[in-house]
Amino acid sequence: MKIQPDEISSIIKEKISSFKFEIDIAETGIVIQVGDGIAQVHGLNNVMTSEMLEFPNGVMGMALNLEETNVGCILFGETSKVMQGDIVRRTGKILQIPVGEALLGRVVNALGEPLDGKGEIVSEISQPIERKALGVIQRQPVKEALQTGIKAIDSMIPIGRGQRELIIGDRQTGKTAIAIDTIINQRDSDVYCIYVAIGQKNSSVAKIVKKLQENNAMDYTIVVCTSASDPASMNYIAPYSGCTIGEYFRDKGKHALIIYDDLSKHAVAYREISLLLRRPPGREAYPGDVFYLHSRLLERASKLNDDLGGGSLTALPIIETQAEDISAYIPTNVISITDGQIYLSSKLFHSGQRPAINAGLSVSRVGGSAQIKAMRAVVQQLRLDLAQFSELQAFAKFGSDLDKATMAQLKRGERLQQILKQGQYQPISVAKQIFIIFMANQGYLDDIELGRIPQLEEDLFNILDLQHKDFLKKLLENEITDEITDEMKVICEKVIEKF
Amino acid sequence: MNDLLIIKKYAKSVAEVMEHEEYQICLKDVETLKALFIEQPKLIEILKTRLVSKQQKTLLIREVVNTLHFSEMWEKLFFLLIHHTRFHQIVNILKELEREIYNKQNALVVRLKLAHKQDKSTTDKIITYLEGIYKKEVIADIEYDPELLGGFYAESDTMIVDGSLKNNLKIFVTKKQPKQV
Repeated sequence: MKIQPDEISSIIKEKISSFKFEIDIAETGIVIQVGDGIAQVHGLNNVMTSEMLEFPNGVMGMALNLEETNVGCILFGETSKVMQGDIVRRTGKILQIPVGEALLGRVVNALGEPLDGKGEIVSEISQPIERKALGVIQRQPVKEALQTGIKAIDSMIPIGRGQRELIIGDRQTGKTAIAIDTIINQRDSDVYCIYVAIGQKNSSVAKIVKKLQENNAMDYTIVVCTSASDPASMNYIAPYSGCTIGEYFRDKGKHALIIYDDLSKHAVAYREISLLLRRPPGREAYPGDVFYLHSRLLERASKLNDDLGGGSLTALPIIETQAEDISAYIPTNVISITDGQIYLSSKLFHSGQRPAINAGLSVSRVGGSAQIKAMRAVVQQLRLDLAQFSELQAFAKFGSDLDKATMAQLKRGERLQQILKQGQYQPISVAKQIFIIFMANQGYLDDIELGRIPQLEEDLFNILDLQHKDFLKKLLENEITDEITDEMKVICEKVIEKF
Repeated sequence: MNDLLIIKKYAKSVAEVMEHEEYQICLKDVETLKALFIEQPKLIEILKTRLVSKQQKTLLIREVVNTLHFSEMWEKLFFLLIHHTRFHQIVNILKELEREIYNKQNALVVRLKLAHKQDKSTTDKIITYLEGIYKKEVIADIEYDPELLGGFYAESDTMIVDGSLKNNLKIFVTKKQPKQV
């Protein structure tokens, strides 16, 4: 491209002619103490809580503690660049980050700055990270399903758009895997995804981003990343930043899904900040407002009413438990805030049941009304059979002689458990899920060896994809009538013949 | 760590014991002491060290405060500072006390930086402008800084008013660049 000197000089002339002499007025304070990502500032009498503050050397901060003589701030840059006696300027703005479609496919930090080396993000719109959650009038009940592509979840713990469903479990039980699978499954839907990594290893985040790229999921996904090496202040604001990005899509009448991975680390970061700000510690040294920390965040997930465009923001917060203790402080808090939880058990995980979802402890309080009718019809039987199986399994351990009916129930239960197993990054469409559950409910799998069920499942899905695409569509849109049942039985028999 | 807050507390306490009509006299005392301690830093060294006896310090302090209007109060303040090993902060305390007294009189000491020496009418114009912003009578402590290129820069404890050419050029350059995140 040739550069025209005339053009450049005309631009400069234009700029100079529009130049206006400005007088910059800023309220200031003086740093009286600094360290551990915290600064105490004297002055700033009119500062607002959560207001952005400008420190020397380009370091930004946020006012958190407004005290009688000084203001406690968290710093977002290098603490070493701020010194005692430095002048701090008010900006008059609540901390804002850029939002919009320009962020799609990008990896950003908690301030919306790019981390992926793909150049700057040009977004015209910025929104404050702290926003009040919508009221009752602006909302409507959850009514559309958000498909995760995971059989055990979509069938027994359905998630609706606008719902808050907690994913809880010990370390290495597949919590993040569920979240990533859910993102991948939105490929053919109209849901934008935001993955917020809080205090995670950079290598783990890189792995996740790579996996999303491999599955073409980055086209509709934004990754907000704060690593373990970032200051606690960045980890603290990361989920709020992610939520603001998600709210942009919701407010535009679109659907968004946000994953907070994980809120245990978020609570730890907030505890660190609170203790450094000398706020009184409470249970497990967390400050008194740790409940509000998460409730105000998760309350922002919502389904808007039709007058406001009907957009939704679904939240999947993740909590890591220690030794399966779900009665600890942070897990109980988040359980009470959310609309249900997916409980992952390490025992199930190690026994080979993956995803290791404990159906007994998992629940979705509002997702049922969003579940499609056909799924609702087949899942009733599934739940009942699984509940009976888990009860009988305890008896079966005694090794006593069992009657024929009990044996049959155990056999059915084992097969149901088998069909709920699913590989990672292999989400399955709802229609296919309905079909395989129907097949198990109808007893088609009772005489098939457990080891051959995955092969049968694969054959069934192939046949459905190749020969019955229209029928799958029909299944999604209608209730299971006698006519549909008959048709399904014909397909099932066709598949079972080979086994 | 909290030197600034301590200085402010001492200054505030002294200002609190003054009556409104005594402010001007006190300011004169402050000015005398400030000039003395700035010109004679050795005096501070002597008063803060433990090597000099209390008796000698008493004699010295009495000599210093003898000519002042509030000699008794200054003597007590100095002994208090020596007792709490904070005498090295005396100049800062006096400066803060000056600010505190001005504040009580609805006036403000502002560090006013100008690029070049200006005539009185221009300086007065700037001060009047600043008084409009600060909503207080402005007592300007004028300095010259050629780095400003033009205009002025005013700084008080709580506010910065930057009307310098240097800052305007900075804004101009920033606006020219493509929008940053």
